[in-house]
Amino acid sequence: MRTVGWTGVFLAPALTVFAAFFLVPLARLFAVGAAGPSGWAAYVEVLHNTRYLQSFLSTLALAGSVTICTLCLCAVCGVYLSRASFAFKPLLTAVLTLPLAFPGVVVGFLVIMLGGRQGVVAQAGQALGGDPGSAVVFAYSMTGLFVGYLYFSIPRSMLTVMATADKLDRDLEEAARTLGASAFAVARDVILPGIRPALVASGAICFATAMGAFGTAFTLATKINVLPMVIYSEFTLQANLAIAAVLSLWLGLLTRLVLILARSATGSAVAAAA
Amino acid sequence: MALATTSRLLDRAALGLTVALALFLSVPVVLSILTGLMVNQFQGFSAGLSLRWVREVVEQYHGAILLSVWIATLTVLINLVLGTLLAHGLRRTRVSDAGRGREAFRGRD
Repeated sequence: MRTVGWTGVFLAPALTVFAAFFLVPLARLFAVGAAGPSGWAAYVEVLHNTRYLQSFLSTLALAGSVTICTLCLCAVCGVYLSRASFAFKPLLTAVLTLPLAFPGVVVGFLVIMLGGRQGVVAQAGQALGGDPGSAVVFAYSMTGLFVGYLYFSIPRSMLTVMATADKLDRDLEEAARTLGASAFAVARDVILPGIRPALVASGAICFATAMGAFGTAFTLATKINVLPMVIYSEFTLQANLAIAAVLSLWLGLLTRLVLILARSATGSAVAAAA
Repeated sequence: MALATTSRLLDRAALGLTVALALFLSVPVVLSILTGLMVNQFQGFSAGLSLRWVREVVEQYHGAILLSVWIATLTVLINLVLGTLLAHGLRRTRVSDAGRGREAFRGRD
């Protein structure tokens, strides 16, 4: 009995903070969502509103495509880097993990460096003889956001994939090759299943980030129709607190659902990493 | 022989993709550093380099920078205390419950 008492003492501070800064605000948010003109029905009505539904779907599509793209790139490069041995490998690895420290706002700025009106792509286009009027500017749109989230997600996923690929049993691959499997078959049947937990774990984090990240979108343009921006403009510009609360809860619920699915798919601690 | 060639080709392709990714991640960083050091970003390097903007940022925004560092430090300290206590508490629960009946926790580990 004495053990239980002491355990309570250890758990109490963190649980108190968790309740005060997460559970209570969440409960308030839930109530605020129903405080609008349509009451509790607002939770269903937003799903019938074309504009909100559209932004829901485009956020999902953005997060999904960022996740798939990141995973494909990191699977190839992560496994390659964990296998390869050449003089520049430490440098290459360092460069690939450099953006880990950048917050979303900085990533947004870097996307403008790449795809803004004075960006690398626009200037390269002009240097190649394109006229200034038709310069390729992609930073202030959904494409810019896609590039930004890719930029944000690649270093994280790369580290996870590399760590897992380092631990793969090379004997299995050699056995497969000896038995006549093609390079493609080995990649599909031996390497891919081996790094699957890493892909699911980093994919879930990547998806959750792309669903809810705000800094990058805010730096690029306030008119991008993704859910975090819609919530921001409902809340700040139109003082529509109820709608902002309802959308926030739907966004949180949807993201949580994906994380739970990912965790049950691997049985590993995806949520802990997120 | 054909196998070795294919494998070398795949290797080259993977290396190319990795280098391309590294460029994608590093070029904007290098550019933003250079832009910060240019006297005039619209004229480019021809106008010369200087630490003027760096100095101005430190002069104007040192308050904001220090505030960020201060908030981050506080967060780390609070998290360190709460997280350590929580981890220790959770471990105790697991140990004492495991003593009582391991069955209940079978699904978890």
